[in-house]
Amino acid sequence: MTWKSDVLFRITTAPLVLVAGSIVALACAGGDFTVWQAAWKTARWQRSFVTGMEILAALVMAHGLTTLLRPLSRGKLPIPYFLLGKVAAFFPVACFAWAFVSWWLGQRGYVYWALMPAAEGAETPLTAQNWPLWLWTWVPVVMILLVPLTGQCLSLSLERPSRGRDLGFAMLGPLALILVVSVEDILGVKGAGQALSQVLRQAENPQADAMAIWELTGAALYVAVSLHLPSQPWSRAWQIPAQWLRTLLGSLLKLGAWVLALLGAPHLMPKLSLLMMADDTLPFLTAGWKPVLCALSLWALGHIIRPRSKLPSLP
Amino acid sequence: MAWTRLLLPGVTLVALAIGGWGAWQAAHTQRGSTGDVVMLLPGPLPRLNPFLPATESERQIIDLIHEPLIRIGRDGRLATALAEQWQWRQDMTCWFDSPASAREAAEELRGQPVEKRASWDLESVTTKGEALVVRFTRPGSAVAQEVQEAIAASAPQKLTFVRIVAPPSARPVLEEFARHAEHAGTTKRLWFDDDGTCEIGTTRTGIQTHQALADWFLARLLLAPETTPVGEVTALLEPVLDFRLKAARQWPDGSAISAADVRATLDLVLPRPWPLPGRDAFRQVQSITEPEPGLVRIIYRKAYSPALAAWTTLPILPASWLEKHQKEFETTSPPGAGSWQVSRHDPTRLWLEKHRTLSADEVTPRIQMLAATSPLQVRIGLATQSFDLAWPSEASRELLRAKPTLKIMPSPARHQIMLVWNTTASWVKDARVRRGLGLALDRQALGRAMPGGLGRPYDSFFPPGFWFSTDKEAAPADLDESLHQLSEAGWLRDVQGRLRRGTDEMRLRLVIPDGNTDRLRLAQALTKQWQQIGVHVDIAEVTTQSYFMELQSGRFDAALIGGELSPGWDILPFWHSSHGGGHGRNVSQMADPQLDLLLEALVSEFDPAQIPSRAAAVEARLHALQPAMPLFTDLSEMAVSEARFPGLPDLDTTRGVTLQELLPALTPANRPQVKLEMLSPK
Repeated sequence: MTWKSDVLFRITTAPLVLVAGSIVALACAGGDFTVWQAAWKTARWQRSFVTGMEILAALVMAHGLTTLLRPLSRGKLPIPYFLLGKVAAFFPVACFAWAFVSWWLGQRGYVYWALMPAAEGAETPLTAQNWPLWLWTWVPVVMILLVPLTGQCLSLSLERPSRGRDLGFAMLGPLALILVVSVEDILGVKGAGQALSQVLRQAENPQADAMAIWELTGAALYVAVSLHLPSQPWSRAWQIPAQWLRTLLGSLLKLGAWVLALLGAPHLMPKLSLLMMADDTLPFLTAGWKPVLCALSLWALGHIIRPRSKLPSLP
Repeated sequence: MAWTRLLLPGVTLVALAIGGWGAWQAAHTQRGSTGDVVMLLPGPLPRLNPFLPATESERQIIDLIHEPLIRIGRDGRLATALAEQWQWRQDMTCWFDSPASAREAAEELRGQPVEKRASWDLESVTTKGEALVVRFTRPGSAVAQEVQEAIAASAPQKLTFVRIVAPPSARPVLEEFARHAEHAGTTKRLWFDDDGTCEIGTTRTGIQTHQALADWFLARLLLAPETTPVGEVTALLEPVLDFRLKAARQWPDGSAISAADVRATLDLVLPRPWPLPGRDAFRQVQSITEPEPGLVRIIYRKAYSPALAAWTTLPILPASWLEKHQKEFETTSPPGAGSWQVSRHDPTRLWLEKHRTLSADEVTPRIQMLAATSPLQVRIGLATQSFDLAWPSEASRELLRAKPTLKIMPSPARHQIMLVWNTTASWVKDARVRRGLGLALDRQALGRAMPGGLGRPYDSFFPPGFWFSTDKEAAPADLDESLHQLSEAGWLRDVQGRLRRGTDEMRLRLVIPDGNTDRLRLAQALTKQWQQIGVHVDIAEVTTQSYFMELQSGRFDAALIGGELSPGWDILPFWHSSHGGGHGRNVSQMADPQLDLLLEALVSEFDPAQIPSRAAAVEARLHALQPAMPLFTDLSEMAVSEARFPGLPDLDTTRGVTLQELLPALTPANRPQVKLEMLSPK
């Protein structure tokens, strides 16, 4: 893909994201155009910007860390590295976020502004004195996103170049967009993800729902125009694979693994009490083993069924 | 090139380093040194509509911003607020055929012996055209008859009251009638009810008034109004309530508080369907005037002593603001005359600051309110000690209670819930049955069915915490006595444990409003406890719209009724036989002349010292009749940091504590030092 086609592709993708977002927002507004329009007008676009920047920072750093870690996985280590990457990718990001909150606030007793803004005081202009603290509001979100993204990036980088691998890289942005929703919600960061979490928890309010979708669409736009784009899936002519049934089953199982890891994890995790927060961080981390194992099993099964993208091997 | 291959890892490492530095900086910073009192609210930021608080916390915040004319003090007695003084008087107005006759009557009164005038408590005698206005220093019509006899020689005119039933749209027509030159001379009073019904006080006869009104209406609305003469008097007795305003209190813009503000506030709130405590008392207001600066004079249509206490619940708003902002009243918070004002707000936070004029020589911290706090934030706030005051939600209540550095303080009761019996229903018309059923109830256990498990068992028909309150402790459950009372009434348990009288099995229809899960939970708890003595209960959920119709028509055996506690001693609307929907029975389908007399005596009592004995008499009669069983008053709690409020131990919490009373505890109580000195004659 040349830089011209790359630019053209990004320019085409952005309106498509906008159209998709507007359709979802209209559905959330119950098909009411007035509500849909009011939601657009009242959308807090700075939230989209915040979320977009968090994702971009996390993705850039994930690629950077992968570049740093790859030389370490030479020799006999690719398989453990690959599995470690997949475990990190499938691990419920909420567990990381809760573990961080438990350790930082419960164990260490430090202040985290986004979760307790009253502690910050009344006036919060960004000054030379408080900018490190302002920075710290966003750092945990990026760091927590970094774990699964780096894991996925690392495991993808250890695969042989293929159309599936390129698709995996391309899906890092949407993956980050899904992950950021729960991370922002848990850490209280006022981004598009938190807005969506709030409306999901609250009673039906079409305008608020549509507004949250608009804000998330805004964040998706930032991601769409700035992300690494796949070259392989689009440059090659598409053809039906010879073993299409096995390919389909394999793909469905891998997709199932992701759906389970991203959406089904809360149902497989034990109930964690907030009262535990100050006592121990470990339960928040160990709570994630069940969904990880289930997702890994599904993914491995899919990989066995669809053996063409041989792994792991280094180019 | 090598540098481009190093760019991505380099950027990552720099970003990690910056993040780590931010973490280190944050870890070494403790709570900001702002002196704000930080308050956590579980729900959204309050809208601060002074007449429509959604929660107890909002009510108390409103109480800081807005000020009524008078308040209920810590001792449960009436205390000053915007007004520093108040006094009841009574005006007696008589009309004569000429100003000369009115003057003659005035002279007649002035010529009475001093002793007689003193015994009448006469304050002034004045004439206004053909009217003679006699002002008594105390309300009550005991001596009015004597005064009327003294002026009978001057032949005062009869005043006829005519009730006019007309649609609300007819109000301007009636007002125009009263103003018109032809009728203004004879029309002395014009009163309107909420439904548009009007009462006119006129010196014409009933027939003359009907004819004049019919002609007036037919010419304008093409319909004749329905008129009914309702009475005839020779003197109009009107209680007068004077409030002397504090000179120091003013609106945030520096303008003075006046009677116009009081009038504008009532005009705003009365037509709106807001839950205004004391609404019945405010409906009796005839006029609000300002005879001199700083004096608010309220003239009532009839003698009704609880009208005074109703002013404790009405925050006064500036008339000038209301005039400009009435349309956006629902969305904009009006300025208040209270000690605190909103100084800043953002989507999730609100700051209150004390008026500078009121805190010139003291450093009062601001109050910072943080809305929509989750249990997690509460947990974090506890860990980092970043709040001073929290209103618990159901989810965070246990968390806050478990913290030893916080003290859980109750708020004053606002609502009461009671079990009303239908005293004409076949199962429960015997008072012994009602008493027996009541004794079977364990209110401590029932309290767990109240919202959040919070409810104060309370056994009085009057609100708690006032100087006249009986504050009766709820009697404990006594199953043996309960069964004894029931057996006295002929109800015995069969072999299966069911309560029977002959072939009848006791089956109660317990009516509750539908869609109210709190009421349903309580009704289920009641059912469970009554099942223990063999009573079968059918819970009937009735739509909220038809709930009171259901009660008025007597289609129930028992009903759960909850409502806002009246601001004073006014329980007449609930228990007087004339207030049960016009059927001559009260809400429990009871018509007891003695109870009616006691209630009337209570609302006619203007001497605060006599109110407790009058209230006790009513209470005793109600307990004897058993028309209902008071169950609970509500209970809200707030968690207060003992470290931030050093004056907390000196605070009396028995009546419940409000923010207004709590905030002075930010500083240790300075007990007044009394220096006694022997004065010797020089």
